Amino acid sequence: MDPFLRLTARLSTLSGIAAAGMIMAAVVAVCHMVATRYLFGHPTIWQTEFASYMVIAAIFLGSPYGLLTHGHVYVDLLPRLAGRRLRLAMALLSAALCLAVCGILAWLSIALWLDAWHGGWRSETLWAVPLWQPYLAMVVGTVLMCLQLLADIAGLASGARRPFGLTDAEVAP
Amino acid sequence: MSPEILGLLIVAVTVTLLLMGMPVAFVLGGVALAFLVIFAGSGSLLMVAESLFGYLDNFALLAIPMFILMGATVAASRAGSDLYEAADRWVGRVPGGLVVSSLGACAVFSALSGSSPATCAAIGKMGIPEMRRRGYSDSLATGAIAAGGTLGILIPPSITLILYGIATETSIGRLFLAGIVPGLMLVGLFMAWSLIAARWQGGPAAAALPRFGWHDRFAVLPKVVPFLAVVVGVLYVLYGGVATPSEAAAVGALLCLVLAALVYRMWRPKDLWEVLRTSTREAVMILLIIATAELFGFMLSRLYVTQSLAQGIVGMNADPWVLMACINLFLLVLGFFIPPAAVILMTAPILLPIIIGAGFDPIWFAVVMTINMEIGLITPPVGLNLYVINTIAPEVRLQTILAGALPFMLCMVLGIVLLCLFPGLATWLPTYVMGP
Repeated sequence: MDPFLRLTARLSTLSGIAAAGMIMAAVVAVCHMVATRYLFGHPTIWQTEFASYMVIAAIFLGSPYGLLTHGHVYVDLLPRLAGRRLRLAMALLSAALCLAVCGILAWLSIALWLDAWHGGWRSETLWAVPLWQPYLAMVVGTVLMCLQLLADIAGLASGARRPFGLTDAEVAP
Repeated sequence: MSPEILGLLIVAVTVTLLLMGMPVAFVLGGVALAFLVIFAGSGSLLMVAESLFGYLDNFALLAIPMFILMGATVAASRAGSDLYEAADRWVGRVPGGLVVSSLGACAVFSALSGSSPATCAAIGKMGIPEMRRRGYSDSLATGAIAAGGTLGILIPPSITLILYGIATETSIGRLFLAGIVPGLMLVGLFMAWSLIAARWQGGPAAAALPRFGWHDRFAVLPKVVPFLAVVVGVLYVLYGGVATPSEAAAVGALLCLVLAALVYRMWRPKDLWEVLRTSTREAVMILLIIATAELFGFMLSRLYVTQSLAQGIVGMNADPWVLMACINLFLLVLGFFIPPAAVILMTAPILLPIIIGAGFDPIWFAVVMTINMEIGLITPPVGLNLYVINTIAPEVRLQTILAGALPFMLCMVLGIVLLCLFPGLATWLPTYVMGP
């Protein structure tokens, strides 16, 4: 396989592992909060916010892995019915449009991140987290999505990646 | 351009992109970005990144990954098979009882998992081969599991009801309660039909089966009871007003992971990773759709499409029940093509003002909408449950599964009709427990 395809696949997988870890961290943080508040009656400060940020980060970091493994839900009615060449064309066009969306989102996230960094923005809570930290996950996630989509397009063009991940057996009537 | 024409244009572009196979989340995000830039100027993009983050920065959303993790843990363990076996030993003796106990197992599993395909897979893996082995027809065996699996999104906890709650700012606790009685009603209807079908079919299926002694019945319980205890605990915590859905879900997920490790020895990193991998993938997919659907909704209201649509429909002065029938038909058609989570996120915020304007109860409507979505899960072309069954029993043809599922679909339609005649089925329990 193409080194670029292999590299992006590895990056997306790593990103997915990080996302899974973050969801687990959110679970543990919320359980910790429940124990602190209901069992010991102590006030809680950071857990709610931490868990929310972990899940947000997991969404953006998990998305490249979703793209890699066709985990983002789509309507596969026409791709299944279409002939081989039309299916490839649909997959390419779909990936190109997704790339455009992710490109814009990446650009907007970077702009937001820079603002937060330079402006020293903090969340309006007791914990007062510097906002560039949670925003960073958006930047990394959207950029990785762009990379994964570029790899998808390259893979589709070279035949290394099947359109919509459908095997011939799956599309045969 | 008038908001009405703009609305039609948005629908046309969205549908085209969806049919082309573009992932739902990216279609919603892309259409929102494009229409904002073209019709509201590029300045409207400045807030997009911060808004996306803001939509997701919501503690209530945490319930989704947590309940998915809880369901995935139970689904990956052998709990489904054990549950099935328990149901079989306790009620399987009645003629046609195996289908009844399969449906019962589906209903209980639905309470462990908020997802329909997961319920279908967990009970079907054991139930379908067993029913076929004991002489039930392929269509009844597969149809019952396909339909029983759909209960996953009606009986709490339910991912789709959480999504509805978030999209429409309705109490998730109330929505969960509202799903219980209609869920049990559907189970009853399904069971009644299976008994009739089994009797019609005759032969071995209708014959009484060997009786399990009390020893056998109790022997199977130790593996099932801990998970049921978690469910009862989660529901108690939710309705006792002790904790929020997200908190209950997190504790439930952790407890299920611990139980799976203890009872089913799923403690190796490989097992844990598999559970985390599948649940992360599903949670990320749904949450990304939530974020982009919010952006889509923002775009629609920024361009006055939502408002003019709601005004237009209210202005028509149509009979509320005609309106309700049209909405259900519309949802049913959408459900044929798009998975429930996406349908609810895309349409609930737009439909809610119309529903309330016509004098319907949003909690009641959530239940009607969910049953409607359940039908979509067992109809082609995007019936997720059909594909799950197809993977479990590849030798049964899709037509056979469909033929078996059709009567159950009619049961669901009957369920919707009953809910329309007696709205109290959905609204009584939440009002009774949580007050008006």
